[in-house]
Amino acid sequence: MLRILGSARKLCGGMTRRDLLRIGGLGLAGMTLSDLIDWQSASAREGAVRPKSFGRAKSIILIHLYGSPSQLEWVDPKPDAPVEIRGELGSIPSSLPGLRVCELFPTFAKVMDRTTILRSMTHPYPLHGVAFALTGVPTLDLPAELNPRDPRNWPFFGSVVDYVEATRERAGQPPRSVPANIALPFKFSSRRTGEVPRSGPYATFLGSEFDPVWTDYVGTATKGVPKTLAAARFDENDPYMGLSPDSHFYVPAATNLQADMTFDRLNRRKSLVEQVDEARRDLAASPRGRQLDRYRRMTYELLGSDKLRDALDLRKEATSVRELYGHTLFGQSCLAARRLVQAGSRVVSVFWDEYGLAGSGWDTHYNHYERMRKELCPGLDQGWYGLITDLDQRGLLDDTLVVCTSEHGRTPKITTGQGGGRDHWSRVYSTLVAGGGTKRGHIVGASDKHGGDVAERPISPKDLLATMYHLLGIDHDMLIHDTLGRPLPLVDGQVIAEALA
Amino acid sequence: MSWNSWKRTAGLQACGLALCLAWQGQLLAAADAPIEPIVVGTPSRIEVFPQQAKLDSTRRTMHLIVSGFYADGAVQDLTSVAEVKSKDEKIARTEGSLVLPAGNGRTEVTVKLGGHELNVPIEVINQDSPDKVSFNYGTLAVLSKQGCNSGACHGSPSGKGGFRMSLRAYDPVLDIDTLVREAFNRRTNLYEPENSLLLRKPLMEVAHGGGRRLKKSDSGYEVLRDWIAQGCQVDPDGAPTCVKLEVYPRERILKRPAHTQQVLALAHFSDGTVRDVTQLAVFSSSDEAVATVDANGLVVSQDRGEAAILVRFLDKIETSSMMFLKEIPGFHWNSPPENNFVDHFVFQKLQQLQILPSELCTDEEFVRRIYLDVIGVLPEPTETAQFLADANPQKRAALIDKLLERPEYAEFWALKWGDLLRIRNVKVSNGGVHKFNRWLVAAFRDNMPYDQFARQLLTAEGSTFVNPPANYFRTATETNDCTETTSQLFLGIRIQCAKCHNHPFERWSQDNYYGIGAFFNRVQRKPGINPEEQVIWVARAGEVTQPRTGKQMQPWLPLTGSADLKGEDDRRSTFADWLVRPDNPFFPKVEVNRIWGHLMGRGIVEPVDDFRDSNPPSSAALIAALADDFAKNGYDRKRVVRNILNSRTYQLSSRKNEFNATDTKYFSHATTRLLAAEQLLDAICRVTSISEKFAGLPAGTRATQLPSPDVESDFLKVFGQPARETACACERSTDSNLSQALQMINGPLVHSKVRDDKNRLRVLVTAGKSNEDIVAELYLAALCRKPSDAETAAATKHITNAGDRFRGLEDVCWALLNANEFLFQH
Repeated sequence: MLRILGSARKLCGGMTRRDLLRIGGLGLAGMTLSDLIDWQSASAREGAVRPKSFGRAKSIILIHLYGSPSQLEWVDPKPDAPVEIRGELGSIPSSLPGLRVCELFPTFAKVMDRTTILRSMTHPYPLHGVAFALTGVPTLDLPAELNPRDPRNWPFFGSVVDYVEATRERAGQPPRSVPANIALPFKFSSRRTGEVPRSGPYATFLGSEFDPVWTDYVGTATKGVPKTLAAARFDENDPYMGLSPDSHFYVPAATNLQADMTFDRLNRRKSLVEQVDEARRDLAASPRGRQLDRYRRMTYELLGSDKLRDALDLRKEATSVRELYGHTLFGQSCLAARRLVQAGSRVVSVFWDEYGLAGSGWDTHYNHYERMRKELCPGLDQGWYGLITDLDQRGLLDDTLVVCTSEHGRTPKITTGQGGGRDHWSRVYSTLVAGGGTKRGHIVGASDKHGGDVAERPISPKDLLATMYHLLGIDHDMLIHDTLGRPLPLVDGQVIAEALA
Repeated sequence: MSWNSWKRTAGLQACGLALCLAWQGQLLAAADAPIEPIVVGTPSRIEVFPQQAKLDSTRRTMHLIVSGFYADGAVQDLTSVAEVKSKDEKIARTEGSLVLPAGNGRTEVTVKLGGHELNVPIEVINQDSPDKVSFNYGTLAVLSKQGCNSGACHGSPSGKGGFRMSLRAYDPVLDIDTLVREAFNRRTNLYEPENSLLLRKPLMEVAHGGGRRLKKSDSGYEVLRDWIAQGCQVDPDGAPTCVKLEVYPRERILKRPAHTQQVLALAHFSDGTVRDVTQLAVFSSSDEAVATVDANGLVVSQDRGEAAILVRFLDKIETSSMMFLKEIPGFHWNSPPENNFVDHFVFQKLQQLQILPSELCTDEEFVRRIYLDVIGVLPEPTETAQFLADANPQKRAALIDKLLERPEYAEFWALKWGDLLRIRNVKVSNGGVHKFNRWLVAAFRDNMPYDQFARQLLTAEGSTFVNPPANYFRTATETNDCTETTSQLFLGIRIQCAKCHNHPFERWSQDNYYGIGAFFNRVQRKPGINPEEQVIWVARAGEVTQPRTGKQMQPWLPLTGSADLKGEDDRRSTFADWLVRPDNPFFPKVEVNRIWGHLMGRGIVEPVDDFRDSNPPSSAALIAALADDFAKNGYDRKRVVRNILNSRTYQLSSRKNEFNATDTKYFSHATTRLLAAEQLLDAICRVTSISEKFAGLPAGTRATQLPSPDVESDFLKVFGQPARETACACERSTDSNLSQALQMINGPLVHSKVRDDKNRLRVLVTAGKSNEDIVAELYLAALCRKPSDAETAAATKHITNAGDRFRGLEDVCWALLNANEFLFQH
């Protein structure tokens, strides 16, 4: 009933996987026509009273800090707590009255008047649940978390948005000339050894066609600190610490032609294919043929148009703007994200991923302070400042939702591990949101005096996802169906009303 | 509700649908056809069902279904136009064709139509005092019907808005607690029933996230209100239980102008009473494009074809099979020859539905298709040329026989079963992968009977290195996995849903799930001598406990029931004995359907491993005939493959005609589909004659020979090579995506093979061949046909204009690899 997308993969629910997005919502096999009508009228009524924040954001830049920063040494310092909790770093005032931030974020502090801080994020799993943070999956399942292709995983936020986009596109909207769901700076979990790939940014049961399109980067890392993981050692430079000023991004096979190829030659090849296809025009007209043709046209569009290539080619950006974001892989990824949003991408994800060895990124079990000072905070300090300032100056901030989150926070108490560390802590942590229909400068929720538990207004990562869907104009309780045909809401959470403008 | 108002409701729904669609601004694949006025015509006789009725309580009613039979053999549902009148309004009264009790006694209801008249005896008893609402069969049935306890609403594991019911009322004990005691008794208000949240929420008198689900005029409202007013009581011990659901009609073929059918649902109870539960049952259609069904059980045809109408009353499920025919202007059956029984059943259905099969495919199409389907690779140009030149009229059958004996046949089919058996390093160790794969290849090479194949897997024990089938229990690491994998592979049942609750839309219960598990829970695993090896052994004791009821489960077999097994025997043997019994309807069907699905691009049941009432086969007779032939001939898989390949049905063209252009499920033409990942990679290697190198495997290993997906190949992954995480055939993705287009058009693999110094086109240049000859050979290699004169001219012109001969030839080769005719099986 009410099939929108056309593939015919039937599931045990009695419906095809692509039937999932049914108009208005409910689509269980047992639903009858009248049920559907009633349900739809209910949705229509809801539509009439929808808050104006619904669909306020045209795009989202979703930043994920893998490993997870300490809430205390970021936007929730506890200057009055004992030293084993507050740590060796002091705090400084920010441009948002009443908000103090860690002293390692002096530049970042200047844009806090345009940032909303969610200080009471909480959930029960102090494990690196990237999939738990970025998908609707209701519980953290460790084996699934460590296997991107485990059938129990749920689709990534960006993949769901892309899926909805595709639905609308097929209903008559023109295709975008840049991918709706694109992720920076390189394929997740692909630049480190010592661990299996992690779940999270994958389309899972929606099908690989909705996986994010991953970029890669060109540039030389200019700084580094030795990294260790058990017996393994990594001594090369880390691009998140510093990156040569000529750095830029590309999408493999989509923005650069193979050796010996020119656009002219590609065009002549294309004409040749069309000529061969003449003999079997019926194949192009078949459902499978049309589906493939859609992606072929997109490929030629990507290769032939300068839009994506230019958005990723940061060498076309003014030096001063590049410096605003800082010459780090994170900063320049944020700049590329802004350019992609301008080019028309709907969801741009920026991962601060592990580099070299697993256990790097923000996962500071050891040498916490040294890593915070040298490896981590400078890049985030400059990157977030650059992104918010630049978006605001260009008048893009109101239409662009920016989110900066992580799997969890870190232990309030400093451990005695090598060089001092903070371990995983999910009972309370912080997340930043800005623009796209959120308040300009606000604090939601509070942690207790040690930054160890929620004192006010618990917020789950599912609430954050619900809010992101809401601001992008997607009902977060819209149903999709997994491989068993079970109807699942996009996410079982509540929109965080206090964060909305 | 009267019949007329039923009709009105249906009409309004059609309008409402259009409005909603306009509101969403979305496209609708198939617009609902309006209900046309029913033309009674001149039936030669009429029939009423049921032929008599007993109304044994104040709550009981009975719908009468009136059918007209015509001289030409046609039948039509005339329920909505028949005149139905009671002879004694003090005993029974009527609303449309609905009979309601008025007072104790006996009378008759007269049904008049088209000059015919029938009397239906009605007996009415127990009218002196109002009957109480049954919690199990009234309250819970209404909550199920209204969708309250569906998986999307309060039946989800966490409920909605703090209110959680068991999914489709599988756990009445939990539900009574939830409804009556939880939430400070606010849900049910005994003193003011109308003020119960249970009523006010779905009426939207107070805000309800699920929207309006109930109207005061609904019969369900009355049931819920009365149940609350009567004190929210549970059914007394010993109250009759529902033992059977009966639907009428069971089967019906309707030919335009007949296009609607009222379905009646009758529940049979343990005390012998029969109740009309049409208003309480939930209806759904297996194919909404063919027929829709509304909440009252009124089926409306949308198109010609078949649909199963699924009727669910609490945990009972039955289907009504409907076929809708119509006269297609200009259709003329051309009686294509039947090569074997496959064609007989396929063509019979096509003729009935007035779908005209495509022409026979050409020899060029046949040779390409059959190589890809049987051995997974393209023929060498010499093989193609030889076949095309062969004058033997039986050359297709001869080629089929030849290919079935090729070593690639066994390797290619082992790849498919390797997916299902989840053969991967991480699951069975690196050494285990190769040993298990070799066992599979040998099984296909030697054409091991399928019953032995299944038995060897299901009863395997010992070292996974010495006895590779034992890996079945290594990949399935625990009992539930064994249950789910075995059900999926050998019964075609996706039983996973029943792990946590009764299956929400199928007949499988939670007890069934753990009952199957009781065959496998004694399987134990321990390390072997080799660190990579595992030893499978079977303990002599151990039982399965159903987690919800806490009851110990006896081993249970579908359609057979509990198996009372004594002693310390390996229960798996009993399961295997039952599985391969000649009368087991599941076992042979799933395998012939899988084979059919592979060869035809779509199963007779689709998905191929998803057999259920709500997913009927597109031809029940065909799948039964194939399964029967399979079981009667020693479960010979090659025989099944041969039967299908030799049929005219398999050999039909993928080019459609005017009368089969919209057919997607009756096999009137070949199904166009993208080559599978491994087939595609091997095909590219064949055309360029540059093989792919896989780490850790001998040079020249083809992708279709890979024992596992552990070789890291982006190309294969992008084109849907499964990671072998599940036993579901659905894991192999058949959808296109952007990365595939990028790989073909601008990817490194295609690019490097096309440019390789030793590739086919360069060898031909070195051999002194002309451009025309090289183009011809490339066409033959990629498309299994010679280019037309126009194609040759265009290609050679391109080569000349390219400036550089090699570059020109590379372009032609690249264009062939990117042509639909190459990328698709057709």
